[in-house]
Amino acid sequence: MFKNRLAYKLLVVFLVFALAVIAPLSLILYYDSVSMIQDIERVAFLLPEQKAIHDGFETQVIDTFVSLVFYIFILSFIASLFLSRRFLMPVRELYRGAKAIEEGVLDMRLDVKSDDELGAVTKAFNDMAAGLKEKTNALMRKDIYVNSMLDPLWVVDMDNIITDINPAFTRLLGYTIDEVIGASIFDFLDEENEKVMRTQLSKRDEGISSSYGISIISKNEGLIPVLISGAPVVENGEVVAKIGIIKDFRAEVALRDALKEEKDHSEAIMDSLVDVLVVINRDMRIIKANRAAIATAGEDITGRFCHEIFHKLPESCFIRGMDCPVKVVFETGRSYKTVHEHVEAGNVKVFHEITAFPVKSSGSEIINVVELIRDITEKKSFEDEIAQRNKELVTLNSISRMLSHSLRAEDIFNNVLEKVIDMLRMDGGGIYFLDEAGRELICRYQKGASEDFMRGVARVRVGEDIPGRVAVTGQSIVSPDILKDERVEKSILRHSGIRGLAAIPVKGKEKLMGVFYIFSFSPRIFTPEDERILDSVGEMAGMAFENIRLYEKMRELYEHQRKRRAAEQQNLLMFASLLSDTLDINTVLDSAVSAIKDTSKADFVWLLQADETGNLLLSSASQEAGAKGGMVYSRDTSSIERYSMEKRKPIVFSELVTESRFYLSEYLSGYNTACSIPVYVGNKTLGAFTLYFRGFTILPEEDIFFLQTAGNILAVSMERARLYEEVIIEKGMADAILQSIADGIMTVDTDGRVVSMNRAAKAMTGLPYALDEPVGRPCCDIFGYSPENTELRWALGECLEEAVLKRVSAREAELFTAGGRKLPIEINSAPVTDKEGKVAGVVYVLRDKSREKEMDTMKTEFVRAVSHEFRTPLSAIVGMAEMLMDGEVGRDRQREYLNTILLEGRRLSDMVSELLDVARIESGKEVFRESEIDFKAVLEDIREAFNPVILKKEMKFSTRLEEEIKGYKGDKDKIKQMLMNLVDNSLTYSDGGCAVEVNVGRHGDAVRIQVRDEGWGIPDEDMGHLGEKFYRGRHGLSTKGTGLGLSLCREIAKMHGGDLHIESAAGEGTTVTVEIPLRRKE
Amino acid sequence: MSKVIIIDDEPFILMMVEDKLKRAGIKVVTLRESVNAVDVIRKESPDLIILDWMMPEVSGIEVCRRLKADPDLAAIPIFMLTAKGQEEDEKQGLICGVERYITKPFSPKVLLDHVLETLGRQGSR
Repeated sequence: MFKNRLAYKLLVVFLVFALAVIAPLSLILYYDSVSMIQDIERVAFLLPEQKAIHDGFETQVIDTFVSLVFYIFILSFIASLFLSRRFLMPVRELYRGAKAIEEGVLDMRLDVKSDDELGAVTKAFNDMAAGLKEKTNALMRKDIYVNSMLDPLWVVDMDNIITDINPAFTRLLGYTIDEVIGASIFDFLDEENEKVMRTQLSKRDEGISSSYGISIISKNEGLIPVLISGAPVVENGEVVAKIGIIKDFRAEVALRDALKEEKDHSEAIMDSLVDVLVVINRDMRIIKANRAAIATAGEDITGRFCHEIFHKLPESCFIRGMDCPVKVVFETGRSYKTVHEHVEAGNVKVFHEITAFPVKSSGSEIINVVELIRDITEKKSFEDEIAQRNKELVTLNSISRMLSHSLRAEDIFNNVLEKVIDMLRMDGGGIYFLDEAGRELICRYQKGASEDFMRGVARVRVGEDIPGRVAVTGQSIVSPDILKDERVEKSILRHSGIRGLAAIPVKGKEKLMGVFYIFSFSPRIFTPEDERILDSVGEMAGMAFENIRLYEKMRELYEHQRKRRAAEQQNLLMFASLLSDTLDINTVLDSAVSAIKDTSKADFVWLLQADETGNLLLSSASQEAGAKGGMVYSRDTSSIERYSMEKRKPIVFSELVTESRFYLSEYLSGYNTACSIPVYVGNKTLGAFTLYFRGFTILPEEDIFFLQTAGNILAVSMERARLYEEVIIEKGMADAILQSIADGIMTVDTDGRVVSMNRAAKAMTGLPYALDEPVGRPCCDIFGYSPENTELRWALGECLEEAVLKRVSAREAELFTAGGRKLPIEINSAPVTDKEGKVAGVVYVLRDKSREKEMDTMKTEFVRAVSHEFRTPLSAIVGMAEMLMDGEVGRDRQREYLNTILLEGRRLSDMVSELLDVARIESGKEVFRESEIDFKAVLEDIREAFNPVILKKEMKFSTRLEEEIKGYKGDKDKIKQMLMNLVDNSLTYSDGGCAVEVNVGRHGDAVRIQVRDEGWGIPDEDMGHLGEKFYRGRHGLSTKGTGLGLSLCREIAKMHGGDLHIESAAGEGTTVTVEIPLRRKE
Repeated sequence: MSKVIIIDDEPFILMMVEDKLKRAGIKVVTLRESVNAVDVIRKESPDLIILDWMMPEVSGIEVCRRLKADPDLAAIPIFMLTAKGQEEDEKQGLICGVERYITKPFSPKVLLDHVLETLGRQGSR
């Protein structure tokens, strides 16, 4: 049975009706029948039998009546029920529908049971339910967005009472929805933040959206820093509520603080670098500079042009044809190294080696260039000096040769003069000799001046004019411009066109022999170096040795520098690639655009971002719309996006074709409706995203509101990514630079604990604690590994004390490394300050000085050894020449004297040649003169050369060619030179009467040359030093030599692709074996 | 006539100095080896000794030390005629009691002047 209450009501009505109608009717009938029978009884006499029938009739009538009435009643009830069915069915359907809606089921449709009014009502109900379902779905979808948003959200009414929050709000701040709803927004803010909130909320009342940073009091965690994007909720053009999207900024704030601190720390370290470091942007402006840079260029360096600072030029240096490293890096994207001549304060010219490398954004675009500038003026001047000295060396060598081949003083001086003029690039010169009486200077030779003039100055009296004065005083006169020189105002040279002049006395050991002068026709500044050269021409041979040695050292130094530079370069490149590895915002934006397209049912969505000049670039698009990052609209193009960005509010055009004032991109044809939403944070407009529809679509207000919220979220994400990138780039840059610096860098906090240590510092010490995570360890413990480091620890401690007083300091100390090596180091220290400017620690820059020290010692040793070796033969030349010239030597002795001078001159010349040979072979410049070598002839030559010595010392000398060697090709002179050296060594370092043998034979595919002696042998302490140039062992104390012989032999062996081995035992003799392959590898 | 002993392992130095001093009327004894220098000096009792520093076996400075240690010979003035030109070498020589330190290359004339001066001073003493 149906449970329709309506049916019960109907039944009750029927029953009431039945009682009201049938009961009275039955009673009336009954009483009428009874009265009618009584009337009959009264009129007629009735038999008793009739009487009984009468009485029964009464009952019968009543029974019949009641049954009949009841029957009619039942019958009519059934009939009425049947008749009302058609009316009840639609009602029941409606009831079912109502019940379903009550239960929340909207997905049903009622049957239309009749075509009367009830049918129409049912149809209306169906439509209503469908409408309701659609509306509810739409609402639910938005609710899901809001609830599933990761970022918290709150909504307040016009009285600033919170009316809604989402689950993320509870997650972030801890309050449940019941605790929040109905509370005032200001209950969650402290006094300071309340003020900010009030200003922001009053903007909402005026319908303005904005983003701002604030801190909210959470339930359990105190104040939480957040970024809120607030917007008004507008209904019918009127603000009815305010909504705020809250972004948790704890991590960002913490990270930014941490990064800031790290950055400050790194900057302090960079500041303590000796090298200048600047960051330069595309406009060639310096945007960042370390302390060294500020020290060189002044406080106002940042913001100024780099060429203005370093070249004092109003325009870029590349305009002047220089290779501008900044330009090169921007163009090629690769790091670049060059040397520039820069102008420092006070117009001092310096040479700078510049290493420039790019700083890239996440989009691999070069945004800045970092320049690391190192002052190499000293190195450059060394190089120049080498060039000059090289020339000098060659000159000196030829002078030395001349000494050994000519004894005519004039020849010597003439040649010397010529060389000097050439060397110093003068225009001419001359030479005066003092006459016998010592009264007059006679010019014997001149170059560069006119004959007429020379006739005028051919003779000068001693004491007169410049040459005469030089002769008297024995002091040089050097004048950059004689026309302006008061000392020489009377000189006749002043009328000759001569400007620059140097007049130098030519001295024997004590006696003056003449004066030589050189001049130029233009003013010429004689550097101290020039003067030194001029002064030392007399003693030039000694100098020559030093020069070669210096050249050698410089070459080593240069090689060392080059390697170090290469390593630095490598590290810098690595760092550059690190930078591009930042947070990838592009993926985030792509998914955001496709999400917006899906939820809004738009046909096309894109996001355009404004660059710093205002051009709109494509950031992301739901389908092909040109290259990402490419320009869509230039800054002057009027577009929908720009319009919405300028208005800072959503713009909707439902008939695009009629909007002729906007330019549309080629990708936008076929769309009729557009809705553009600006994306901005605070006062900064980042761009806009636009939805395009093919149809003529009307966007509901709440959809636009939703898009606007999406825009706010997007803006925050984009801005956050940018902030991250900025800070990370800066930190990464500082970090990479530190690691790539060749000096050791170590930072220590005020408690003396290590905060950081770069690679070079770790490598330099090699101490176990330094290599195994030094951070956090007391600095003393690290160096305390070696007990000898006490002095160093003192020095570091003193630097720390200085740093606490905010002072920089420099110390020198010795570092004992793990390997037991002693390194002289230079310590430079500077305080590291925190954000508040309080000293947080100290940064040490440790520089290994061992190379410099070593070089210093070697140089001194060399000068000592060489000058000694040169002085002896020079004694013969100088002393004997003097005696000859003074006419003190008898005719019988003259020849012997000249012979000695010649011999000693050759010895000098040989020594210089030997030095030059070593230098030349080592530098790879020696020409290899290949010819077939006849070893038999070579051995004979050697025997012949040493015959006098062999006879004198009564040596048992033997040579043996073990096997005929045919077709071996090598440099004959060099092989011979090598053998001569080895044999000479054996003969020198053996007692008289000992055996010396030279064997030449084959050993596999090689020629083996052995020189064996039974001499003094090499003491153990000297074995390790063999082959070191200029090293002279214990026996060297009592013998003559340059310490170059073995080096030269080894170089010659190497030149032939072979090598040299020495076996020796003190007191027993030495065997030197040279093996050179028969066929040289090309 | 004054007598000067010169000890040097370079024959030409001996020749040169001998010639120069002889011309000035000085008697010269030359010695190429330093091994038995002290004995020779004792025998010859010269007025002045000219010594080379760098010699095989016994160095000039060692000879000088031995002489200065011998009370009979300590008073004889010694000239060091050497190629060792460093300042500290000279200092070392002077510490050992060398009268004059002359570096090579040298002017024979100047050497003679010094010799005459030293001998003259001695003679007047």
